[in-house]
Amino acid sequence: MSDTQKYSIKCTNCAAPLSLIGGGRVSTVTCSYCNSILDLNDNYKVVAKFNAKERPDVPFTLGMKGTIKGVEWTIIGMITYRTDDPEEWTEFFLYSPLYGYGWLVYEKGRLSFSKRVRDFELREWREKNYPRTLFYRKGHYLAAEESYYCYVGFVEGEMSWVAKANDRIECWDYNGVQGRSLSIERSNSEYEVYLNEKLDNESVYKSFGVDKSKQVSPTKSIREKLIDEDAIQSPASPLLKGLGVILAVLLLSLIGSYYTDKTVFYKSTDHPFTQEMNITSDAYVTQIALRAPSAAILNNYTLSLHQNGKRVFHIDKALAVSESYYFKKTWKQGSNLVNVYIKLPQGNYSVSLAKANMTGTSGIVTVTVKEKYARLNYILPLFLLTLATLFYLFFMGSPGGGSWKKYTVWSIGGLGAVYWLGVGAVVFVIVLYIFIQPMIDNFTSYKEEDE
Amino acid sequence: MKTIESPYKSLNCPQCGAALPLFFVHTKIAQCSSCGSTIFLEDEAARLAGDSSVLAPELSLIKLGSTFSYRNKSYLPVGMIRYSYGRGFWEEWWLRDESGSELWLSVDEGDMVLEVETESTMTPELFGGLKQGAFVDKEWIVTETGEGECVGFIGSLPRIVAKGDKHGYVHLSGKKAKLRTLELYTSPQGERTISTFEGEWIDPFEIKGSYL
Repeated sequence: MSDTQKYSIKCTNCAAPLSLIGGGRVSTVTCSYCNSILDLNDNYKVVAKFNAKERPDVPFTLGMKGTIKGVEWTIIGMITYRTDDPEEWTEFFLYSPLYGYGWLVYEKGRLSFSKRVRDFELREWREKNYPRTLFYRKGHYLAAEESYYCYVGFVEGEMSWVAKANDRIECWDYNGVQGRSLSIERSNSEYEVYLNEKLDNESVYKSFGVDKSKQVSPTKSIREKLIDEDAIQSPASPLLKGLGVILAVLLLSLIGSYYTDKTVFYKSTDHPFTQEMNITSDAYVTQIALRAPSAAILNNYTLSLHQNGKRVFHIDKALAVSESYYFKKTWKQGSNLVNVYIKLPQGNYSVSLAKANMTGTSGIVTVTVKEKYARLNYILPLFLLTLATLFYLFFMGSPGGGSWKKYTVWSIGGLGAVYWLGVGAVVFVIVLYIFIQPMIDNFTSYKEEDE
Repeated sequence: MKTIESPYKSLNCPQCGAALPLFFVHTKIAQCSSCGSTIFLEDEAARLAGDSSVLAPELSLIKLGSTFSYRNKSYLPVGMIRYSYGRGFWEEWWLRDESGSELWLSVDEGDMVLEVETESTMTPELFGGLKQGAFVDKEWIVTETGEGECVGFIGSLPRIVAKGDKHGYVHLSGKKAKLRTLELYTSPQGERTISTFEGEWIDPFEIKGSYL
């Protein structure tokens, strides 16, 4: 379905053989030998000429065929644009007998596919005085920068209009999500709108048969790799998927930390006691909280846990020790609350509260033991760090720093990570039961809080 | 994709007897897919008008008699006229949709515009004065003017066409990305009439059909 009809003519300037395959809407052909522009609607009259020195060094050549978006295209022309900055890019004019015309855009090794669209509300856009943000086909687009001018530098092959050297075009670029962008171009008084989509370099080069030595691909920053999920052929890059999973895990961990723990012991009294307690699960850690109305009261009490007559944990104002771990310090003397996180195997325990000095200060002491306790200390900093990294990548890590608004849409796109919550849920269970748990074993410690 | 079938009883080709499916009651002309004869349809009768010119096959996303869909709506191409504009050509496809309505799909080098015929307020006198960039009714702006010459047709059509027939056309664009086409026809008796069509551009990448 990709056969194109070919017509042969001779350049009216140098008599070189030229092939025309671009269908009825092509209006000029620029001779590859003498760079003369021939008007196909005016007896191949030479209307202008390009300087051969301006020819860019690019990986694609006229006549190459390749597949983009499942359609086979033939390169029938090329045009190079330059700006005052100076920036330069080359657009290859594509033709398909079925789908008409399109553009393969090459800029510093980056490839994208561009096609003219006519369902954009151009009239409204002009009446609103070129707005900074717009909606098109249910997509949100943000202006990349102010409008700018570009100039025709070099043309070869067929074109659908007469493009001469230094012809000026005013451009407005709008960035969308999933690698899409809109370009609105004004040439003389005519406006045209193009929808651009990023392409995967490797597949395009392979499809068009570009020699390895001529293949150029840009060096990508982390931010660009993240955004590369937008490429047409790959809706989501592995990096973004991975990030989505991490975010999901951390988010679920934060939520889960509020629901996993279970109070297995609670007693509030001013009298010493010994009472049985049953730990039903050794997942995560066990939190032992000791609270008193004042530091003086707390300092006069000790708390011990025994299993089968053997002491497995003890804490008082002087020391804290468990069966397998010696705590280097205990609570601060000015504290009236202490939380201890310890790894306790399943089983029955006896909880003993005692006075250190029978003549010391007495008062109500509350003992609380929670099993399956997930500590936020491990999760929250990581979650915040990930968020901060994301913000840096999206807002501060751009080459044109300061224009943070245009990256808002990408951060909105980051919400797509929610899609991976399902995957995250599975990983969440695996990580917390297998990965985090031994970490807590190794770093069992205590926490103090002043009330 | 919904199947669109003819609600009418088929006529038979007076030349070869093959069935001529009718999709609109006001069909005026049809080409027999079996023998290639051109048939005028008059008061539910078929009258042989002679042999049709054979159109050169061209690659197209649209195929006569093959239903395609666009944005979840199905369309059946029942006829096509090919026009030349000098260096190239475009095709006008006569379509029937799921509800039985008729539409026209213009296909010009992959550029597609789906339109329905509307009441015309344009006069032949005003038509002649329309130039690119001019405003019409304060809302529409002329984007292209030109002349098309009929190269041939296939299937059935609501109007009599013949190879070599010429007509003027004007393309306009309006608000909300609406497109309008004005066509000026001159009968052999010299009577001039304007047909107006209105619709929208459609993305060929959104066309789905059994032919693809």
